[in-house]
Amino acid sequence: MLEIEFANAGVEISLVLLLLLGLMVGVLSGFFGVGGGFLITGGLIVFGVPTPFAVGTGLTLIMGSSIINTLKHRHLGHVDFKLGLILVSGTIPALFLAEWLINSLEAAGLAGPVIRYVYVVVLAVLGLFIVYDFLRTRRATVAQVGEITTARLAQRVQSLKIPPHSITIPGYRRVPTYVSFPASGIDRISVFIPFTVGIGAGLFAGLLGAGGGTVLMPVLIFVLGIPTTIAIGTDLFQIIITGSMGTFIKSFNNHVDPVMVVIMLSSASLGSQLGTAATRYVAASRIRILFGVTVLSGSVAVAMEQASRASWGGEALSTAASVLLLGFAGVICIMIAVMMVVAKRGAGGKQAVGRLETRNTHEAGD
Amino acid sequence: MNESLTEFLTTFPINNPLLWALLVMVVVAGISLVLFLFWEVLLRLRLPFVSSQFGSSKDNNQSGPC
Repeated sequence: MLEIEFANAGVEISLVLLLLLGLMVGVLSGFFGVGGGFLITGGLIVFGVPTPFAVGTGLTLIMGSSIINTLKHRHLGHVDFKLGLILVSGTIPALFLAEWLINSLEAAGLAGPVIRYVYVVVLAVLGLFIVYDFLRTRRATVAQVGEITTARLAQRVQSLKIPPHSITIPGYRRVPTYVSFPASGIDRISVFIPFTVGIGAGLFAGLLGAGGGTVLMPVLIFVLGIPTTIAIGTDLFQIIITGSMGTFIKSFNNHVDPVMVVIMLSSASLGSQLGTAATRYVAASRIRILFGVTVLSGSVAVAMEQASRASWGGEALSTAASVLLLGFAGVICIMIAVMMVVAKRGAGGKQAVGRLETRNTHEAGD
Repeated sequence: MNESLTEFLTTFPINNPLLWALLVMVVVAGISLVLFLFWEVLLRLRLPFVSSQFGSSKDNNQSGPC
């Protein structure tokens, strides 16, 4: 296969493998609204890229592909910019706080294991919750859905009254601390709630070196009660900011190979188009279950990676973890393509999706 | 040509880290925009159902758990 030498990273990698990795990242990123950091970094390490360059090059690819995905989702009306800006206002200071936390952990010699354990637990809990929610909703009859659905959690969160209820802006007037997000279907919510969610996403992104989308996407859906496709688009908008900050820091430290980024971006941009388009044809409940399973596979891969550091034959286990992750991502991409084609061929395409959702999702019961 | 590019890629980041960081961000953002437009136009001509211009996603927008 055509091998290319990368001057910055100092490695030779097959062009075909890089294009395939970029395509998978693009499809998953556009479909799930996540950056795909865990997949890119793992894949590049398997290809022999030194870890600092794998992280830096991955973050730069995340920035590029999230720009493409956000533009695509904006065309489809999936981005709530007002909500996105409030999230980002919490994310940016949290990134600096995370950097300070990492430095403190590193000084204590605990950074690596602590971060990996947190990663495994958070991904496992999220993935299991999403799968559990999907199975419970499927089993429930329409009458029961209202009683067991997580939509009640979102309603409670939206109705929370958090003081102060208004603040005075010097030289202006008193302004309420409650906002509405018409694009997300939220009439009234305390501004402190999305701000806090943004802080959480920023901490996660900064600590784990990912865009934070893996955590933010399900939180937007299940806690804030935002429709799945809007959550995906808004999440991607937020990832542009975190990805850009990460890119700047990593490039400054010369841990980015721009040629590698451009090669992967060329196929990721096609994958983004396909992944984003698929969100119009695949039912939201199916998007969520696929996301849940992907997150679980990420958790297993990181757990294997952690185990590889503590056991004999660690290198083989580490490689197996990355291969598992890449293989699973490839399978999910194929499933997305198949579901998209099936839905497109189905009677009425989107109408069928709408009917399916009315029957299957939480909304049905409310 | 190839050698001068390699030399630029290896020496410029070390000598001008701030400029290099800004350059990487601008180049990647610019290429992203160009690639987005390229695939949008190409897919609109060849696979219109993948293009953003094909219909809206209002039905699926309503499908969240809220």
